Amino acid sequence: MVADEQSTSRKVGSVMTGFGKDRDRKVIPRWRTFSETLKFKELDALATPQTSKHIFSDSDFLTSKVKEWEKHQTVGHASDLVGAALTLGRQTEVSEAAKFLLRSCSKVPPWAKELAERALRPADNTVSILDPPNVESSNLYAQVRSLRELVRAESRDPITWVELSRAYTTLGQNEKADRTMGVALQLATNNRFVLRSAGRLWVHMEDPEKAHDAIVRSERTPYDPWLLAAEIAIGSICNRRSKYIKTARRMLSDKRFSNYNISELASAVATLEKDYGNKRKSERLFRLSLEDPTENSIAQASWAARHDKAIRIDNKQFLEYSYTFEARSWSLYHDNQWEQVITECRKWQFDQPFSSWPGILGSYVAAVALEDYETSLQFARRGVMANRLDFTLLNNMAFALGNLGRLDEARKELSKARGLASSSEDEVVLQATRGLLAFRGGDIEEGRRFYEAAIRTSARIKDRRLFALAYFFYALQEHSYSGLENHSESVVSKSLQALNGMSDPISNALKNKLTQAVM
Amino acid sequence: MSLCEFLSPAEQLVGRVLTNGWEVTELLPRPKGATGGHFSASYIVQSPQGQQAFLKAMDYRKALSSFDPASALQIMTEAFNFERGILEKCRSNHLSRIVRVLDDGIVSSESGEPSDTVQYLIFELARGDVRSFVDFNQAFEMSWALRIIHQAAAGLQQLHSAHIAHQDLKPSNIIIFERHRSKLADLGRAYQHGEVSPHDHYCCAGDSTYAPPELLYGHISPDWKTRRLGCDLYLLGSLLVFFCAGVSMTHLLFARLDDEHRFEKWGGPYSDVLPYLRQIFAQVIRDFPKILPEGTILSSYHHDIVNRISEAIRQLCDPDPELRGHPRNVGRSDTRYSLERYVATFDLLVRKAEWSLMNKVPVEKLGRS
Repeated sequence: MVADEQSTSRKVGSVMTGFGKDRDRKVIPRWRTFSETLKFKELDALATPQTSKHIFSDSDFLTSKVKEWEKHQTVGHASDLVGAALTLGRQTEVSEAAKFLLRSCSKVPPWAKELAERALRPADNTVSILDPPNVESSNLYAQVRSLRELVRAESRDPITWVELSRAYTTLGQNEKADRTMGVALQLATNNRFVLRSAGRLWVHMEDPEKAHDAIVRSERTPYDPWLLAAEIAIGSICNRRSKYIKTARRMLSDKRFSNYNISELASAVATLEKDYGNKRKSERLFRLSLEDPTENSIAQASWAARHDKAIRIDNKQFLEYSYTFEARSWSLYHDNQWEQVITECRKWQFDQPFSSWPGILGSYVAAVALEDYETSLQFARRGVMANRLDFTLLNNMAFALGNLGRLDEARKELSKARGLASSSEDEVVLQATRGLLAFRGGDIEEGRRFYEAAIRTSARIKDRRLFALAYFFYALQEHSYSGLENHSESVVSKSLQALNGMSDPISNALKNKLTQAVM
Repeated sequence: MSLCEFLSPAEQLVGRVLTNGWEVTELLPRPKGATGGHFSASYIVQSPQGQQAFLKAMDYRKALSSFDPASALQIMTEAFNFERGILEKCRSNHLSRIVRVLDDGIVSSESGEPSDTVQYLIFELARGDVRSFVDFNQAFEMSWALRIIHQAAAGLQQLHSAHIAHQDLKPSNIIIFERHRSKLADLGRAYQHGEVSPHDHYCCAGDSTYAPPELLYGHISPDWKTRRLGCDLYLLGSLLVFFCAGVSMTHLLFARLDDEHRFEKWGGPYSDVLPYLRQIFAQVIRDFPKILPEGTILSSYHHDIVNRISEAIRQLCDPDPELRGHPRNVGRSDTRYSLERYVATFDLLVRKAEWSLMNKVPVEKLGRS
């Protein structure tokens, strides 16, 4: 199983399509493409430039270039002027020369044209709220080829190595992802983008110690709130207490950095305080993290508020922020807005294609709440691409395939999941899904045996949620194959009873569904 | 009121005969000031033997009427003396690829006022700078461009051997004499190792719009070679980009760099911004062979040349000055920033380009050497 933001939680498979209780989320850095990360302003310098530096000599080179362009009016003079203006950030002064280059069409070298276009176009730093990159439509293999071409051209470029690592991670090629990230880290041991990406990769690969080592080893970490946030969050996954916790607290109180720059640090320390039981401190820090939040801080605060009633944060207002797909997915889930959960999960999965969680939640809601098994299968498949050894995703795939009548494929996926089962909860899930496949294959007795075994195991481990879900699916299958026979009736009634004891937003939907089915 | 009353003494030299018989024949439109900012006037002069030359006259009266006359005068004088000294050194060392100063002197004004005295330098007369000769409207003339680059590299190598760094190599400072003969000009921003230069205290002594990125961020290496010679190597590579793409490497880097990483906004160390510059640099290097004009002699015949040029740009323009230069020289303190290999490479490429142009044979068929 692959770790995730909710890295220490057990992704309890159920149904069984399943998803775990998101009970232990950490503010692990997001890993987006470099250009997206830039738009989120996560890579700005923390220090302001020193104005006393004697950088430039006394001449105003741009003015002299303007005069020369006015005199000569050639492509060479125009491109020299436009390039110079862009270098100095004074492109508004050279629009005539830029227009001249664009008017001259094919006679102008392509890069000179590109510069002219840039000079006339205002910078676009806006983050699209609803349009994250669509990994499905983009050809990931083509992306890998293009990135490899870039590193061949310049092998010392750590950013492209990170991008390549991300593409490999999305394709589930973890060894290559690991190797390429290692190269990036060797080239830029102190770079924030590289370190945070490396942290996220190695947490994903269930090696948080390696992630923590890389970040803690960087000499920049004690001075950079973004790195410090990652260090504390990842350290807590591997039960390492941060040696910089005092530094972090000081950073949060001394107002040296903007609220945006300390948002994730406040969130990481708030999570620690929550773990220590200091609810008031935790609440105060979560509030600080939301002063000018990142999407990750919003997701973290939403999670904290969902799981601890003592932490009272009204995070609804933040759900309209860019890329808050995770927070919105969970919020909608708790509001029983199933169709919208699917929409948000899809964006979440596109945004973080290697994360198993959007796949798990999306496939669960699609299958259980909406009975849309094609969509469930899509979510699970995309999740499995980057998480080939994820028990829950494989089980959910088998569940969706079983319901679509594709039994051979379902059995194949389930056999993969069987090899990965490692807990009693997993056993419950496996037994239930095997029950489903048996029913679907026409072997009702076998199906009953598996479902009853699942119910017994869940009762033994006192997992009410799994108990209720096992009963629910048993009842559904029993009813559809046996009609209103006595046995079926008894299972349905026990199922409704079990669902009453299930504290999950989906339980009401399940009750309604079962009631409608037997009516 | 006559026109003369509006003109400074430096602008009233037409018709005057100077020391050694130079006759001032024509006042040129005011060029950008290289020595002493905008306090100079330019002329065409003629020797008694009929040789035409270029004269640069220092306009002290303009300096006196500036906001801070004392400073302006001091800057002018220092700059003039420095440039004269360094040109003299080039002449005495027979640096053939550097524009030659033919004469210098002082001419008194007709008014007889000491403040109206004009100092001047007389240079070889060129036909213009590179920008007027690069014609992007026609098929790219690779052999010509490579020849100019070869001569620029040779000029820099000559300067470096005399412990001088040019620091302001750019298209306008390469002057063309005949179609295939060029020299480096404008040593007003140069650095002479072991001596005080007027622009020493600036990170970017030369044109900041061409400067290597580290200097724009105020990153100064304590080693003079890394700082000064490394700068020249970058400028040479950038010039190569200009010839092929019409823009310099600095233009490309800063046009594409995220706004928050620009030097005006960046307060962190240069090493922190370097990965972001390098990412753009990688794109430039990757795309370089693709942007050369379609259907020209270059793209049809000269893939080998393009690859070698691309490699030279990668080595010369590395955003990290410590890694700049030929890989075989990295780690060797004596030849760390040597241009010798590049001079040889460009010479070879000129020959290949010329040969293939004459015979219309793809360079690949000539074999690699």
